[in-house]
Amino acid sequence: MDLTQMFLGLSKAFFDLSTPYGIYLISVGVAIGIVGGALPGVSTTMTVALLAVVTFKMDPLWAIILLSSAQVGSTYGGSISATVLNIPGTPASAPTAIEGYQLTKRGEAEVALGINVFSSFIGNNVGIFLLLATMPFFVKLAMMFGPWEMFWFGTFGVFIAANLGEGDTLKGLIAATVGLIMGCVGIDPVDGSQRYSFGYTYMMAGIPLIPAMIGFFGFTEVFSGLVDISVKSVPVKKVSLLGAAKLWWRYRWLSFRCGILGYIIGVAPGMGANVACWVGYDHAKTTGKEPESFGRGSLEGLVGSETSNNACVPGAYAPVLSLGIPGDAPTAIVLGVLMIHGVKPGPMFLFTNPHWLYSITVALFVSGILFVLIGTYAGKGLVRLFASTPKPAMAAIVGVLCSLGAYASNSNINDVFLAFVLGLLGLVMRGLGFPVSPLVLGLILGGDLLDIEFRRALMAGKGSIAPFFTRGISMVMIGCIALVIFLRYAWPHIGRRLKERREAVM
Amino acid sequence: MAKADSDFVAACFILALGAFSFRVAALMISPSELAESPGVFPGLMSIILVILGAVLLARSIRRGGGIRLAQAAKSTTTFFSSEDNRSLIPGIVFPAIYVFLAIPSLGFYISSALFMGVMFYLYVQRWRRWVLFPVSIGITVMLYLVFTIFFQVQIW
Repeated sequence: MDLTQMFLGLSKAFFDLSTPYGIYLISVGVAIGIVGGALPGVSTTMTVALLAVVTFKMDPLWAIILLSSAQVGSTYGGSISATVLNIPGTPASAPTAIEGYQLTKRGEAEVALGINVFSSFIGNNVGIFLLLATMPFFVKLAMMFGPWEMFWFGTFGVFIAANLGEGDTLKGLIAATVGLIMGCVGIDPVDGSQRYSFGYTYMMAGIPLIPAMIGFFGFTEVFSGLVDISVKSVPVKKVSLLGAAKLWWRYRWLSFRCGILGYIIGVAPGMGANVACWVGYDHAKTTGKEPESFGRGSLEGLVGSETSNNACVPGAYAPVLSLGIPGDAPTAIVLGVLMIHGVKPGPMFLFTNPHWLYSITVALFVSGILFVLIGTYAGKGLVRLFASTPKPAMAAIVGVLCSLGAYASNSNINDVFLAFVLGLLGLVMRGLGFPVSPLVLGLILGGDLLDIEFRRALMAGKGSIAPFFTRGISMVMIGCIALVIFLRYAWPHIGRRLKERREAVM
Repeated sequence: MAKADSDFVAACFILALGAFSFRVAALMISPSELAESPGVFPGLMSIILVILGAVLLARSIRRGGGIRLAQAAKSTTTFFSSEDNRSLIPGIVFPAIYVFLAIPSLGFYISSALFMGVMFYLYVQRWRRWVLFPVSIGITVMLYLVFTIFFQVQIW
């Protein structure tokens, strides 16, 4: 993949997507994404899951373009309600709510919204640039991956999701393990025998991914009640794009650094924008010029959070396209859609289909331009609409969308029943403090990746497990898992002891 | 129910689930062809689940958890009678009636219009009464146009 090839590929992709259908599809994706992202209680994952059901009759590449546009729109859209209502539209906008709402209370909502849209735009473009720059490296790395490395990479992703997600790590690992077992339900991909179906015809094909995700991310929210919105008035002053750009310019280096951080988090499987936003926010707080303003309406905080979470989106496509492993939950849905279309990304995929990378990159870029336009001029109107719709009404509408979405994926009423039951399970899990995201990631990766690669590795090693621990890249993966365990458990104690010793000396 | 108690109950359930899963997986393991056996991976995950369940159980016992039936009954009553959780019941019961009874009998669009109309009527005080069912029908028509006509998704 050299520069000339890349330039030609991008030019062709740009012309292919410049058709009326292409522009229309990306616009619809971004608009639906912004609405879904801005609506409190409807996450990016849920938006992409609901939109996925309309893509089954499409060409797979157009399907991914629609879903990736929605993901970009939704990741930005969460900042609108976070800033104006102090309610993050998506978890990835939680730090934005902390700072943005303080600015809104001071009558500077337009400043916050402007910084958000510009930082999101820059984050998206930093992520796109890094995606193109690092993809040749990922493809080479993917070629070096054997089944042992694929197994450890998938395990790393599930482990990270269990550790860095919401709640207790032990409960996260339990949820992930349950998800991995659930992923084994159905026909064994290696020898074709039935596993865990107990004679039920419906279970013989395994647990369908789209209804499962709609259940866990959609119905759970419907049951536990969407966030109630009560606001008396919404600021109406227009955002000046030029003014926002000038404000952003003061924090440009912070923005670029947070973009790089966000991209790296996007690449690591299992983390996603929900983690990236906090990493970016924390970096801004640590390195910012105005640390005293954090918590009181810090523009640096907004820049850090929004640049990072939007850079994460292109990053999440790097492992999907090169290794067939999702970088986050929305790209896990994208992967599920690809599998439904019979497309299996992996190490050889981009050699035979390089236009996928270029088309997705151009779609992400155009989505960025569109969300700036739509978000700037329609953002506050959306918030007014949500504020005027009562919570039970919103819950009913979302419940109908979830049922429709679950049914439409396979035209099977049992999928709706399954989505409902899994939604109840998600509600119970939430009540007991068990996070849902690791279970979903385990469900996606269990049967189709970890199981197959584990047994393929055993077959290649003639039953020996030694190569799992002796191959170079495998040892690096194990080292990364060990590093996460160390940083999570041992480092806080070590850090505390060092601090106590320093204080004792002083 | 105290957190330690709920963790204790959850741990017991997880241990039982892990043990059951391992029992099923073990039937699918052939020692002579371990690598090809369909039960190898789920069996390994089941063992991990049992270990994690045991750790959760030990942790909950250390924090004073256990099965206290009287307290569990009391906290269940308190749970359902509290202001915050009262909305959970219609939040689950009405969608359950919609999904399991209405959709299979009436089809998606009719049952969706009825479901939204009923939910709006019962819980939305801010809107005028006469507007509720037209709004639910309007939303249903919009969904029909978008899903069935425009995106050609087959929904009955």
